Amino acid sequence: MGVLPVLVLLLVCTSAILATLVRSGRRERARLRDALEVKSSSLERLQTSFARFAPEEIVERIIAGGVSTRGERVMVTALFADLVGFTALSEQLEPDVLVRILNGYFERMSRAITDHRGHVSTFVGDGILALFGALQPNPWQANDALHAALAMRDELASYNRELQDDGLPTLAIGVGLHRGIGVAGLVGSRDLIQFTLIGRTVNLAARVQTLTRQYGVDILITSAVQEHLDPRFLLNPQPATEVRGIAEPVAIYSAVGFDHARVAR
Amino acid sequence: MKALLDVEWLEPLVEAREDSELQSWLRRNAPSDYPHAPYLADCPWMLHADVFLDESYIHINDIAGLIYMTVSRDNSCRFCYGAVRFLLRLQGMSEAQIDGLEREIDTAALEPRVNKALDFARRVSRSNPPPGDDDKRALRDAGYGDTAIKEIAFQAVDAVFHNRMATLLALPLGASELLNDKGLFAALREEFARLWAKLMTPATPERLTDELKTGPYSNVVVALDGIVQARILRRVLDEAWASPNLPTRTKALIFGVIARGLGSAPAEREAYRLLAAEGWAADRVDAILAHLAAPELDQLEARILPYVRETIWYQAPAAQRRSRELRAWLGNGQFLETVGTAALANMVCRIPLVLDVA
Repeated sequence: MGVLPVLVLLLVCTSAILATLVRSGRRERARLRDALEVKSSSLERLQTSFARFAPEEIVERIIAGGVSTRGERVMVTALFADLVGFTALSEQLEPDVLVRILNGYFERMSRAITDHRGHVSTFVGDGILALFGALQPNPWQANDALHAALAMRDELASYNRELQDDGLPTLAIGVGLHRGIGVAGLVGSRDLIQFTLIGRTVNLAARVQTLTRQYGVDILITSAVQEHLDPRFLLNPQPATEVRGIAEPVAIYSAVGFDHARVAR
Repeated sequence: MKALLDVEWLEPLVEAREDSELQSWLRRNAPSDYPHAPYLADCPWMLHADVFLDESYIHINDIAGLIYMTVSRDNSCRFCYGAVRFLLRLQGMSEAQIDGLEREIDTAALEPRVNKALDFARRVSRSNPPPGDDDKRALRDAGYGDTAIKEIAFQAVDAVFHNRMATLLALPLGASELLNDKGLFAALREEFARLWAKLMTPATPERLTDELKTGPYSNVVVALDGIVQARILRRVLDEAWASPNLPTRTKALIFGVIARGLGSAPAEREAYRLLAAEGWAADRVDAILAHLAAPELDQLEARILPYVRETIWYQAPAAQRRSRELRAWLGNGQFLETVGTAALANMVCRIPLVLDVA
């Protein structure tokens, strides 16, 4: 056998091996690309699902930088809403009816809040804590929060009509609003963490909410909110009230409505 | 980024009108075709801005397209996303290469200095919170000088402007989404790339003359001195202010609302100065910006101001629905100028959040 046929044979074999390697490399690349597509789709699905548990902005921050427990001092308006007399009512209802009524209530209230640029921070039993200005700076947060509270009132009236038609008991709410500085951030343990606001602002909103029973109204705001409100909101001043943990009596107002026809001054 | 191509996108909210004058202006000034030009015919400064802002960069020419793509994806702007993919194709990249590039952006697999610039641009666009001194220091450590940082910031706000203009008007998505690697385009891609490189040779920046240091938002323009885009922004602002579709006071109010929403103090001060020149006392401007309502506002302004507030941070489908609601109250030119001014204000008012502005 001469040298040339050997060289030709070697060349053919090398080409065949190279071609096989290239084909196999391409297949591997295609497989990896497909795997990446699948992972990417499942990540997007996960992000969408995760957004039901935490605000989208927070989900994005976590994706970009991991779970940071660094807090941020922010000016917020806290809205605290609670169902009046619901504990007694819950003892009379079947569990599945109770859950259905509550879910319908939360759905409508959450919509009223997010439609006015707030976000629901947490549900506590039948209570709702919503924050305005915690995720993004919002100089119009007081107006937004009171508009949200008025929308919640309207939503509840409409929900009550539905409940009544179904022969179910109707609901009543008390809403308290306060504006102030708080520390916003991801708070919790390694097993359970949530984005919320820490500080007196939330406590005061919750405390003012409890006064709605005493004054026989559904929405109460503190003067810290009132000072930043559009003058077209119709308010009734209420007697200043001692609030636990606050040295001076807190000036509060009940919210009547919003006069669209009136021109702001 | 298949998901972005599924983002809900309305039919255009503005009317298209063929305008021979505008077409001949485009032939003289534009480096490429602008198929959406007829939609901007009633407000020519917006098209001029669109064309002028396509000017290329000197220090960041290699990453300018990536910045634009990153911000446009972040803002879910299907139009700009399609357009930037188209531009990258013109520069010689294949569909597969662009897909790969996107994956590298997503996984921060690009060079560290590029990742830093993209992250900075993303934060300029989001402005919640905007990048701070530490972020600028990180860019300097990565090898970007002050002029390059200005260019990165400007490219980010350029995308902020275009994303809002395209999304809020629901400009037609057009051919940019349909181009693929087959047919004539694939065959001529290299030719296109050579032609594009010639067209996009960066201009040399000239310092601003004293005359260019005056006019609305000159404080922001001056802060950009040293990059080509300073002169462009001056020209865009002057044309926008001279356009007759909305009164100048309405434009100043729009800038005031965006500045207030972003917490951009130098931009808000300039809005007050401009409104003072219109005869408005500071306490009345305070009242308007506090509640976006006042007896002094006319009916259109009373509708426009709450709308423009929603352009600072938005979800694309909801923003388009709100635009459609406003459109019902305004004429074509008024609506175009409202959106254009809001987009421009979002661009200009973000600059003081990252650069030193007097």
